[in-house]
Amino acid sequence: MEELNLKALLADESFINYCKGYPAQDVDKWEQWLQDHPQYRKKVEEQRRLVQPMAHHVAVTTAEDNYLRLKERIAKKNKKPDKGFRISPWLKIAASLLLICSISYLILRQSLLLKSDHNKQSIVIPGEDKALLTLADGSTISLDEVAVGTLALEGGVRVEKTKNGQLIYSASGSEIQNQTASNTISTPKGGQYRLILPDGSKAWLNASSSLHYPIHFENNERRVKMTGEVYFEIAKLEKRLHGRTERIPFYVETADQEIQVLGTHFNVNSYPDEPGIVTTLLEGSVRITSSLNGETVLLRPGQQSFLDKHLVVSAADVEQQVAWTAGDFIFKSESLASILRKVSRWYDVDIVCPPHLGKLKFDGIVSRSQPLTSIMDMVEITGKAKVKLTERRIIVTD
Amino acid sequence: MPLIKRHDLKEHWNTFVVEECEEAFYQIYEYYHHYLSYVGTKRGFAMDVIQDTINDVFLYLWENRIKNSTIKNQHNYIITIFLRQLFRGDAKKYELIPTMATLFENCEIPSVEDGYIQRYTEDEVGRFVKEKVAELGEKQRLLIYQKFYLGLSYHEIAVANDISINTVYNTIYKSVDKLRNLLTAEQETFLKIAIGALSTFFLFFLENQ
Repeated sequence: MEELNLKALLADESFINYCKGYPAQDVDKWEQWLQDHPQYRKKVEEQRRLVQPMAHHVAVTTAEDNYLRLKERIAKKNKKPDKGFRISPWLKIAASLLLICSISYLILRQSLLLKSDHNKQSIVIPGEDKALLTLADGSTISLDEVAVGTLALEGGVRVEKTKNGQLIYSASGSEIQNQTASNTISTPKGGQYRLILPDGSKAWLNASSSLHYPIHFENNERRVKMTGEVYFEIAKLEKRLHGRTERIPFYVETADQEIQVLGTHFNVNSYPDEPGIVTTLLEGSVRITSSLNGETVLLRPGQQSFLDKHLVVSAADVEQQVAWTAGDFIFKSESLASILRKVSRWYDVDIVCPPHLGKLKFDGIVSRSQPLTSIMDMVEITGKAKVKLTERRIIVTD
Repeated sequence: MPLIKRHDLKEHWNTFVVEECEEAFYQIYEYYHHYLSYVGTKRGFAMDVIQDTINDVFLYLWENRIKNSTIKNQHNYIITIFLRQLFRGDAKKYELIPTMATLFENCEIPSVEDGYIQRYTEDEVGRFVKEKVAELGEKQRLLIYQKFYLGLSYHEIAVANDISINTVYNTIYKSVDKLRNLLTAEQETFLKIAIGALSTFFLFFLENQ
């Protein structure tokens, strides 16, 4: 009697179907084969009696094990205390002032819209250099409305607005009074701003972003907090300690991670409506630490880290990530949903886009100073979708 | 407890939402664990990613049960949020999905009748297998799940697990073979004990003649 090649049998999809008893044509086929080869019936029957219970019990345990993992997550979530992020009073004031300003702006806009001619399509202009600065004493300055020149003198530091939408902090030489004072700069939708921090580091804020920083950096470390998207060029700073020169590290904190910088150029994209925090390094070196689970990575130039639940490092398309600092949008096989989120922030419009269209991919380079219609045209020309603008809302249809 | 059917879903969903009944929740979870594993593996995702995503979905469903109590088509809703979450971090595998509702509409998991399962899982061999299957390796159990229970093709399993199709054949064969040998050994032992007991009985009987 020829030895039955069980392995070959199991590799046959129809044989496995026979063992499972479904579909009927495979069952009939193998029944016929067994009638022609009755000597194998015993061995095949052994096989068949095993397959179904194996399938069933493995399925039950797989689902149960995963369910236990889910229960653990639910339990952990219910136990988790509030995040220990200390909200400085200035941030609270800045936030409430920003809220008041936003509400006033919205009310004003509503009343203006009511007055305007409804048949005329509203002209959507691109973003510009605008931001709100909150000083240490809580007072705020709308940076696009105020004139060029010295805006404030606080704690021995001069805050100056220069011509090209930029803010510069410099030591004014007078006595240092308040070492712990902080300022916050925040950009609305459709805004952007550059600033030069007290240590000479440069920060460039994209729309819907904010940066909270001390006006006087301590001797041991420089620490700032940010939201949204900011591009940094951090100045190298050294101090003398026991005759040795040591670099003073610069720390950037966002909601879920901390970046330690020694002197370098990098971009942080931490918008809450994006899938994760993307940090792209151009020059120098940074260490990223996730505050979710303590994972840490060291980036080299040309790399980026992605933080959602875990930190993942990959090669970066640097040009694309920092295109906004050069005044451009660069889309490389980017989903329409992602493109529209960026458009929403820069042009300050709402988006309505069905999920199946949001997955369409587009390539292109568009200047950020172009009106919104340029990007709408870019999408419509491909014929893949129709884009309509009404008031301040973009509606995407087939 | 037997796996629920698709048309039972609405009733279980209501029980779960209204009474916060964990049992109903688990039954929905179990059904969709298999269904979504099938969907996700067919699209080439690895099991650990799929399982995490399933849990993401059900965590969301649990936390938003009141808010979502008015959802009309629970089946499509679950599939939609699952796929959205699955493709969220993996731009490379992003594809244009035409209409969610028509996807996999006609596929039923498991691809076998309940009565059949009952017959073979509750007999002696079935109980034995239940015990021994826990001794199989994690990878072996995963492939058995995908091949024997979910009914995916060897090619689909190889792609999703990122292994060669030969490895899949070998792993499955080894697991079945191991269980078959264990079963034969067990039956032989049983037989030996039975013979031993019988012999003792006869000896005793004969002696007393």
